Amino acid sequence: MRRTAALAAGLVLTAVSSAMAQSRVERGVPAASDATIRIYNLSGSTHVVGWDRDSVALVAELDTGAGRLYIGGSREAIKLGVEAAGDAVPAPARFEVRVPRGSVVWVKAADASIEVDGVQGGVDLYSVTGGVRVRGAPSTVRAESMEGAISIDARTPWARAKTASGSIDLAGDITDLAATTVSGTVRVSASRQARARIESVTGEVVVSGRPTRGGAWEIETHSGSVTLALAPDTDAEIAVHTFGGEVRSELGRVGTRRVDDLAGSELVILAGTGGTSITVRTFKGPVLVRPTQ
Amino acid sequence: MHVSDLVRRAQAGDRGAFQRLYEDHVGRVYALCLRLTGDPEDAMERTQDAFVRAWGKLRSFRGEAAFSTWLHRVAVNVVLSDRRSAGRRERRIDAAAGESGPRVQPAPRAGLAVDLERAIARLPPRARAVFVLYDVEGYCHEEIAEMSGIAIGTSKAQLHRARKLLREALS
Amino acid sequence: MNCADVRERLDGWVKETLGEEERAAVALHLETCEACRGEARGLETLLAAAAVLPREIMPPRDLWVGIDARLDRPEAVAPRAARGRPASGLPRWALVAAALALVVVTAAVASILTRRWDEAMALKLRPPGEEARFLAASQELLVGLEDQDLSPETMAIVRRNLEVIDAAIAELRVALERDPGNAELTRMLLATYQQKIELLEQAARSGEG
Repeated sequence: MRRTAALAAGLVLTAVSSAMAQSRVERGVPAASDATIRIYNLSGSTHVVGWDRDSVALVAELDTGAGRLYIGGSREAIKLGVEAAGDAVPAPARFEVRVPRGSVVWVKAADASIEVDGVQGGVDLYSVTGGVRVRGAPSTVRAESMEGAISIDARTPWARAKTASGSIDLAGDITDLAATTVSGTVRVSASRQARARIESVTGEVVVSGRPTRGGAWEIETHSGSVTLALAPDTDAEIAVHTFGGEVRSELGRVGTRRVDDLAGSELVILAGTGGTSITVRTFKGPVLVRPTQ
Repeated sequence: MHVSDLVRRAQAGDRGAFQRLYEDHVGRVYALCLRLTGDPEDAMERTQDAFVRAWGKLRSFRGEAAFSTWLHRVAVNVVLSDRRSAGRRERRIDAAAGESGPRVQPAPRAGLAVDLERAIARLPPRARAVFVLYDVEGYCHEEIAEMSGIAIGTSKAQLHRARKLLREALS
Repeated sequence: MNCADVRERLDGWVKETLGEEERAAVALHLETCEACRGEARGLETLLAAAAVLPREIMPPRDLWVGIDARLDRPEAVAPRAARGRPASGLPRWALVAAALALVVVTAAVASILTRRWDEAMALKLRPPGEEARFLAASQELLVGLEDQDLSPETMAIVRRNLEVIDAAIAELRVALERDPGNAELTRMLLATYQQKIELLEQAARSGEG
């Protein structure tokens, strides 16, 4: 009974007149401090901001043909978005959504960009061609875009980013990160990764910073170049496995364990006293290890 | 972040939190499934089933037991309740009859442990399950009987049989 | 205590869980009975070996992608997200996507998502069966995508990136033909196939609700 009432109370359906060139809609619903918020906005932009209130507030600007706006659910699970009329590709809608800071936020977009600021729960974001940007201190981050750029500048224990051709930029303080791309560029300048896994086929990989002692980084590309820019006093053992890529190091001592044209070669670069394990595997991408400038 | 925070977040629908729980626990769950099934492919399927089942049942986890204990139990139930697995495994073994070598190829570890893993994998399915649950995982006969739907006496008899076969295999 | 009594209690003897009286009785018997001593030693050795088996064994490959793909399906209804009803009927694209999610992960794909390539596999020459499975799974995913009626722009992105991956696969295959036993190359080849599957999965998610 209570649940039905809550659902009914939370359910607000707003038909937007298609006669208006652009309309602005404001809606608010109560929400639990750790609510799950699911947002569908295919085209345009979505900006989610965590705030210190137990409610969700939506300000939406909708172009003609953006479809119907909906927001509803219970205090614990709220769903909002625009529903396209029929099969038509929806016109752009711009969402500004305030959510309780501790929310779990899930956003889905087609060409819309997604930005999330100041959310401390988990964030899970997907866009096809739109960019994805996360700032703040979420508990976990998962971000995917086929072609859009992903940028995470956050303090988080755990982040996963995946693109096809979009670039990936990771910065801030990320303890455990993974970035996967086919042809996008990956730049990681996070300061304290203990664990990092970066995979690319042709995309360039640039990792800079000072690895946490005892940490493990793994980088794998097919032909994408790999640049490791490490703090000059870094303690790390860097093992590079390559079949055709040129390897240069301007840091530490270089030892060659095995060089064989067909079997590939493995080079070990010892920087400082070791302690962090960095493994680079590439079929033919050039590898450069240098100190940070 | 603490496991209980991750569980709470996963209960709220946070997949990232659940993925972290997966990463932290997959080694334990896979080891269990591998020993219970004796087949790496089967074990990977069961491991996935276990995590999918755990996600669906996560609300029923109240936190009285450790999450790892609860997840472990979910995995045991997934493997033991899968009646199809016996038939499937037999077909696989038929299909693999032409291949040489043991079905389980554990990571190289010295000595008795490797031999024991191999010998466990070759036990008859029921004896293997009881041995793994009792002597490796530390469940008691009452729990094993309940989980696998057999009598307590049967569990004891299967344990005796498993130990005998293992000692023969290792001697 | 006779042999049968002792053997019933050997488990407790080895694990040191017997009461004082029983323990003494078993000890007394073992002193004089060679056969039971042998049994006790055998059990001790076995349980000691079982005790040091590794608690954790990592699966030969990451299983998360296959799990993630199944979390939205009816077999695994999400804990709380499921409680919130959609405010209106699901958008068409979401329905299409839900159908796709059910269609896409059929036998071949499911098998590839639970595929292994452990060291033994990698040490074989090129595993042609493994490759054939990857090819079948990626073909199936691609057909699923085409049926899903994704936008031409999305399909163009998918195709462009598939070309990139296929070119890498072709290069690795040539290298493997020159050096068929190379485990590292085999690993790279299978990892690249895996990337192809993941790309197609990612594209399929573009339609999911």
